[in-house]
Amino acid sequence: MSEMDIFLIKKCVDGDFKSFEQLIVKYEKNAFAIALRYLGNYDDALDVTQEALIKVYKNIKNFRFESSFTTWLYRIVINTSKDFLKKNNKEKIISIEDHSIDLPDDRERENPVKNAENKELKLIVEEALMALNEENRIVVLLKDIQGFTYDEISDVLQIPIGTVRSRISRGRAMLKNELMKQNPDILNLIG
Amino acid sequence: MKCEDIKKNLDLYIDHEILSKEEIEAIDAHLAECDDCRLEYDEMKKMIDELSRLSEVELPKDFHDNLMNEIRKSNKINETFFKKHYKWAVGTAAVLLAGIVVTAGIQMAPGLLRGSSQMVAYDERVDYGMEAPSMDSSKSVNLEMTEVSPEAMPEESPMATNVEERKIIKNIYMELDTSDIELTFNNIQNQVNAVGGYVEYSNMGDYYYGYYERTQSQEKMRYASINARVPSNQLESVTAYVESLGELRTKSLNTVDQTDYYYDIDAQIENLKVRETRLRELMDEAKNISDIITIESELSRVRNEIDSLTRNLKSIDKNVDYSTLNISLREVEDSSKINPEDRSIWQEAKDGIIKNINRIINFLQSTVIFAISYLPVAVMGLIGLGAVYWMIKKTGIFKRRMKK
Repeated sequence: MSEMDIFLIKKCVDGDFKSFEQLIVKYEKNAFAIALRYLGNYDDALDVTQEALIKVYKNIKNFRFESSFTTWLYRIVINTSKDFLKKNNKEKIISIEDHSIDLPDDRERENPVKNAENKELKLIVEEALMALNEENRIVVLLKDIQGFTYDEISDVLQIPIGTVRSRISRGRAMLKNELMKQNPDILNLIG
Repeated sequence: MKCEDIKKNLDLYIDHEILSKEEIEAIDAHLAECDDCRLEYDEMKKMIDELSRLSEVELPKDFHDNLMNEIRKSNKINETFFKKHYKWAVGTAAVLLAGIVVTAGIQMAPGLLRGSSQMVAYDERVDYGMEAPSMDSSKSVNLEMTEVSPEAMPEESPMATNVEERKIIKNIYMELDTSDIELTFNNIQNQVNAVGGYVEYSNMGDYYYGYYERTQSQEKMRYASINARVPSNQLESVTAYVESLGELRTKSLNTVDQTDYYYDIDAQIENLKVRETRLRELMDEAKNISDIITIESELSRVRNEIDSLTRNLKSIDKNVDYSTLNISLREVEDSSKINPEDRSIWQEAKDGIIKNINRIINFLQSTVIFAISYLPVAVMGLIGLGAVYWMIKKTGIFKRRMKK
């Protein structure tokens, strides 16, 4: 946790609204990415992210500086998402629209013909991810989408590192299976 | 290493987690040789690459502003409360404002109100004169004005064990209405004498009853006053007796504590007495005439001073021992008797109507005066209300904009 974050958090606790804005603006996007990949629905993810970040604001005075702020923040986002799924029981509803950003990466710039294919591929991966159960989906998205370490995942989800490891392993295997179901040759399309 | 072990640890290998340096080297070596495991590794790598592309998401441009507005909203519960109940809030504000305006107005125009209250007092007096037997109301009014507090009543017989006896002078003033003034007058004087007191001054005379209203009949009624001194220890019994003789209108007690003054004088006298003794001794020793004359004149001065101060003490003692009782008597018609009405009902009614019309005119006059003189205050109040309304409208618009 950076010194700056600690400073901003302390000012928030003292009731400085501007500091909270400065603090949260750095994490909004990641928080939303987690909610989106976990819930699979763009509008739900927006609602949940907003709700979670309001919770962060309201509870920031209870933040103890024992864990990192991001861990604490993402945990709130994930728990809010879980609550949302429980409440709405629409785990299986998958967003048809793709709102993910379409920055042309190097591959696409080199080969514009492949652009459409890549888009299609991305959608397939999204759908496959949503086919996983919640437990495995969350670890895979934290590991492979957000790039968290095992330790961080263990912290955020508050599960032992061994569980993290087994869930990642199982989740990836299941994801691969799902992708193969869509197209047995799919992994050869990548790259 | 077998392929099984490699596949089991492939995730850790890819993620650079947990594995020791040796284990990593072993997997490196195996992947270089085993095509099967190599493929497995490549596929996994590709899948993870593809997954990492999902980290790029797009937030709506207004997400941040909406979030901040929502937080601000939840932060200001009071504001939403005000918004929800603004009608009540405005009402309360208006009432408060009106209260402030009226209070300010009263303070700004005290002369006006004092004038009207004087008018009321005057009216009451007139009424009293006309409807003589309505004693109860005026009695209660007068008693309220009386300042007789129990603490102010000193003990009748100060304890002898007190080193310094309290020297308290008590004066009581009483106003009494009675139907038979002569009997009451004599009874009081007899009672004062019976307890060992004396009457300093007494007086009885006529006054025109209902002077302002009953010019026709001009019934003669009488009043009397008695100034008496009664022994302090008898004061209470005497006043109780006087109260029983008629309708008490006013009773007030006034005490003067002369204790400090009394003992100051006492000490002064003691000093002077010591000095007197010294002077007498000197006088005995004096040889020449001039000394004798000087001492003599000094001695007589001291003696005079002692006498004068002693007289003061005695006067205080007397005032303390004998309290002053001032009684005013007024003769009234006996309320228990039904008086034959000599005036016609119609006359009464006519007088009443005229009186009430005059009252209404007076009331309207003072209302107009009040309204005009309060105009600046009312203008200020309206401006204040306008400001409140404007603020509410403003916040209302603000709220709606935020909601969007």
